[in-house]
Amino acid sequence: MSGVRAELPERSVLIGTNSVFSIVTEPAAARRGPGVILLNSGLLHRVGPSRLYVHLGRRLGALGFVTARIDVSGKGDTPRRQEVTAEQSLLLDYDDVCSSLGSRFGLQRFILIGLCSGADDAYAVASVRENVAGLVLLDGYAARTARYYFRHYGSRVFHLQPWISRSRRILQRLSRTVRRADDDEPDLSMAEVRNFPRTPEARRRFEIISQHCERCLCVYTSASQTYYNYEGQLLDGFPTFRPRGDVREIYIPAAKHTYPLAHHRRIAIESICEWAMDFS
Amino acid sequence: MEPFFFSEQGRKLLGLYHPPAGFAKDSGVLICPPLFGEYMRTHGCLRQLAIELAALGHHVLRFDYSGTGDSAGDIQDASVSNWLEDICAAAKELQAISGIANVALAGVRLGAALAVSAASECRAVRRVVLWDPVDDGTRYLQGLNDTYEALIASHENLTPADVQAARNSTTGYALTDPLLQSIGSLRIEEACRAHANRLFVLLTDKASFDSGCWQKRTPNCQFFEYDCNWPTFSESVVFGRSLIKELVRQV
Repeated sequence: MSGVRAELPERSVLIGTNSVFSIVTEPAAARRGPGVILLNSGLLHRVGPSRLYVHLGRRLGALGFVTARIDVSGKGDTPRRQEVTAEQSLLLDYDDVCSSLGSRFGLQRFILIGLCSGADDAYAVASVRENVAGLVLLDGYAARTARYYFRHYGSRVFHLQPWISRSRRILQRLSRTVRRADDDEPDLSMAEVRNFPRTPEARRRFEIISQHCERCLCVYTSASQTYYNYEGQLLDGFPTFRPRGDVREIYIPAAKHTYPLAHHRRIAIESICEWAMDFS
Repeated sequence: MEPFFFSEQGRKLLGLYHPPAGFAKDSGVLICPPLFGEYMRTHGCLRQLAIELAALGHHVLRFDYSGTGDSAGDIQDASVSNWLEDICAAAKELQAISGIANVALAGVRLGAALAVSAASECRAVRRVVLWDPVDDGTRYLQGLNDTYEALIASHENLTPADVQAARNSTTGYALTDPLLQSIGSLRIEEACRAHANRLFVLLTDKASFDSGCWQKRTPNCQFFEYDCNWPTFSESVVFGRSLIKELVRQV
């Protein structure tokens, strides 16, 4: 899966006062670019869904990047921090990890990678920390645009399948309601579940990120369909998001949110590695 | 908790040692996790189990099998025989760190099947606790495959090429034929019989409990009501405080 057969040196370390658990992959050959930090996806620990983070971390390590897959406080094997907000806790973790990688490898700039809530965390950190050089957001934030709505509703009007699916869903819901009224789950889109920032606030944050973050890669899957449905939508929604380098968008509508299919994981990993290789 | 890597036949495995808090007992517990999606779903639960056992004075070690989790290698290079060796190596590692003589194995699902199968090879093992053990490797793989097929079928956006690629990758993990065969041939009835007097089984599946087959294998079999929903591709974590308490009691 990872395509890396030779084992890279990996160390398990507990970082900082809260013992942030990290697995650090050290490049075998010449080191390249900024350090890479992988942030937890949802409640999952640092291994990531279907070992996505392990394979990604090792691939990036083989390409020369020092890579740390970490458990932020309260997730995986890192205890929760007491008496701080979730955002403060995240920043304390991030600063501790940067400091540790900085003192061991001399790294001063970092690429943050996250899936789902990990993407939200990476985005939040990047908007307040100037040492973030690159961002990889997997099913991260985007704003709905006019073109999004056109594609969204257009596809429903002209295609039969969504009508069939919708009818089936309505029938299933009705039958559930008849069986047991309190059994119905709320139909929340990902944007609502994850409490995305409002567009003006998101725009402000993207503008701040533009000032120090060199490059950004955003990969969207079918799970983003409720707010993203074409490549280029992120920049259409936030035209003032202009980092010095590029903003690349990849849409894989066939992929599921946690990449349970091996060939979609491979596409995601290869896309990220190819993007990362452009870092000097 | 002290993380470290240790080696078994050149395979680098991640170990997470939980030293006893306060008074240390002369006993240790090696936690044998399940695999694939179940491994991710139970990670927090098994961590909590380790913390609670350590609080009672046990030396506890969690680890990842070779080719899984944070341990080195890929699943394509893994085999059941390697995983059995990994369990014995981890048990020895636990003894070496803590200086204890006796080790209990606590296994979940496929990890439970591996634990009871490895018990004869690990001299230090005095007790084996199984949580919803996989009884029959073939049925287990069938369950994994069924949920994988259901996942593919429920996916509206897959192109025919995607479906083909998905089917080429057994259960989504690209398992090799030798690994599939070795998991498929796992049967634990004999191993359970060999360790009947030191075997404790916790079942959350009512049908398995009601079938009575486990009661024939050991007098220490108990039903505990908790919906673990295995096997599944669901990302819902398995974490019940009452379940953990029961496991602590069994260990």
